[in-house]
Amino acid sequence: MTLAERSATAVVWTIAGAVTVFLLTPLVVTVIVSFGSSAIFTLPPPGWSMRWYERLANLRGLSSALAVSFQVGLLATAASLLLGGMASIALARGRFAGRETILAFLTSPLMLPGLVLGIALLQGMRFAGLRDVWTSLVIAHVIITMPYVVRTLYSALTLFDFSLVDAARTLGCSYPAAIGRVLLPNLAPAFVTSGIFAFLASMDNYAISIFFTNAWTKTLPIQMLNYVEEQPDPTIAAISSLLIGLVLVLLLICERVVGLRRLAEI
Amino acid sequence: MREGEAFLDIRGAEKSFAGNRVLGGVDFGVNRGEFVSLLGPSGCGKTTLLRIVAGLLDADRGSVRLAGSEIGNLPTHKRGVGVVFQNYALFPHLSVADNVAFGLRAQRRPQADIAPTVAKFLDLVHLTEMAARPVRGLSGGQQQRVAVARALAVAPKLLLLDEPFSALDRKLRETMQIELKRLLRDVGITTVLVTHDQEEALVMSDRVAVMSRGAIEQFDRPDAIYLRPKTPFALGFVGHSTRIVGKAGASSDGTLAIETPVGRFFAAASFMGGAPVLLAIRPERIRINAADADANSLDAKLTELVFQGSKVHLHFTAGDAQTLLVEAAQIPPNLAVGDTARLSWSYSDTLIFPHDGTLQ
Repeated sequence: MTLAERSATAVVWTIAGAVTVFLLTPLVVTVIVSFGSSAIFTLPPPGWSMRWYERLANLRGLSSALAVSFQVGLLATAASLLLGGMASIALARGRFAGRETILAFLTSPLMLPGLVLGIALLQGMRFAGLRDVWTSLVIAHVIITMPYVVRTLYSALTLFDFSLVDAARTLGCSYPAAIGRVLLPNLAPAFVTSGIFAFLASMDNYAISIFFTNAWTKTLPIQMLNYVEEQPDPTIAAISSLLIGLVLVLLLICERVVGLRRLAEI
Repeated sequence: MREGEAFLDIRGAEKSFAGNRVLGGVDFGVNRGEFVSLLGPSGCGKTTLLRIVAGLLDADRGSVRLAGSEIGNLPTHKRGVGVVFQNYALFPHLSVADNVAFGLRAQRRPQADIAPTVAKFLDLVHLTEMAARPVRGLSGGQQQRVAVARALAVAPKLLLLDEPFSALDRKLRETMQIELKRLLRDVGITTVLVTHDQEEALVMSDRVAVMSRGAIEQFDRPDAIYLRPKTPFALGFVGHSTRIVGKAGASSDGTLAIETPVGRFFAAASFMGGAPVLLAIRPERIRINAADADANSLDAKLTELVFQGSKVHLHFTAGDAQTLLVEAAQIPPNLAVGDTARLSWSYSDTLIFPHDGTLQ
């Protein structure tokens, strides 16, 4: 290695280290505070305790918000995978006018400010006469999660050799059966990854969910913000730490199923 | 089957893509157990025709009948047509044996039949030892054999081969052509091969259909295609030839005189006097400095000598710009580049086509 290469490597590593520290610090602080004994956020904590975790058990509204978020997240992810999967096949395979436009449209919720999208969806659903909070919440989340699914699946499908599907059809599979027996197993990594991203995007969403919740149906992020307003103690840090744990578990599953290296490529 | 209907019988098949006519009313018939090639350059419509037979494309018009019944409106999986794809399209998530078993499982054949059938077809293509291997690591030749075994295992009525040798190197290609031809003949399956490689078509087929611009130019035995091409396209696409443009002159007793810039030649043909014609000769039919009676002949200068191992190509020039190609078994003695020689060929080897003013 020449001197220039050595110094370039050193610079890159320094930047990478600084970015990692910058990104990880808030998470680490949250986890430490959640195990602290102090009722206000102090670092380092004066002592250690599990009291904030114990409080979670009988915290009003937490379990129902968690249930709503999980149900909405799973339903929206499933719907997104099904609809987005079919749309991606059409976009990757079809040669029709407006293909690019549809692709851009399906991924546009990522580019729009959440509040704008939320208001638009609220008005749209009012206009369509849909007043059921739960249904509108799920529909809104399908729209939020769609870009993650379509982007990942579309890029995987453009690299997929569709003569495999043709081959399966000549061997006796109907078109849907060929998709199920050949396309799904070969693109399983892309489906798993996009599903996990979609689920996390749904779990995390605040800006759009706020328009489709009421006193009885609240998602977890909204309930958490309520707590912060009512009683800003490290209970919220305990919830956050559990969520960080959930993400870690999902990433580990990804790692086992796909491998993180391929995950980064997608 | 109807009277006079072939085993695979295509009538009036038409197909356009975005207003661009790819097939213009093709009639095509293949007999039971026959090996037929669709030969033509890319874009001639041969692959479109194959995909229409397999049901992977719908024809705009026309009928496709197989073994006496219409299949043109059936979905692909109900047609009983097997396909070996150009890239083989092996399923990368399955082993060799599971690839071969795929169709049997998809068609829900009895569980007890699957293993013996797979074993039989793996044995047929000499891949028994590879059964448990993933398909990823296989060589091109092995992949092709898996694809053939997979297509044959479900016992299709018809097998379609889409440029199956194009991914193989030349040496292997020749071996595989002979091997596959023998295998398919033993199985006794009716086969249609799509290829742009004339040698492949001539070597493998019982009959060859030469295609150009969405139409079949000639459908005949390989030797007839080579020796008696019906159109200038068939002449040009299959094998080499020398072409001389001229004008039909007087004809008598079925012998036609043709006036050309490099002399008057005769052929066994009849044409209206004065019509522009294209005269052609296959390179191995021209003899050098032979004492032939009743033969066409001219003097030409050797301009280039190309040694090709088992044969030699000699390029001659006559007159101003008329080039002639001669193929000989060996380099003729006493002939060097720059020398003039007498070239001759018999009347019956002189091919005549109507000429529209362009040379392909």
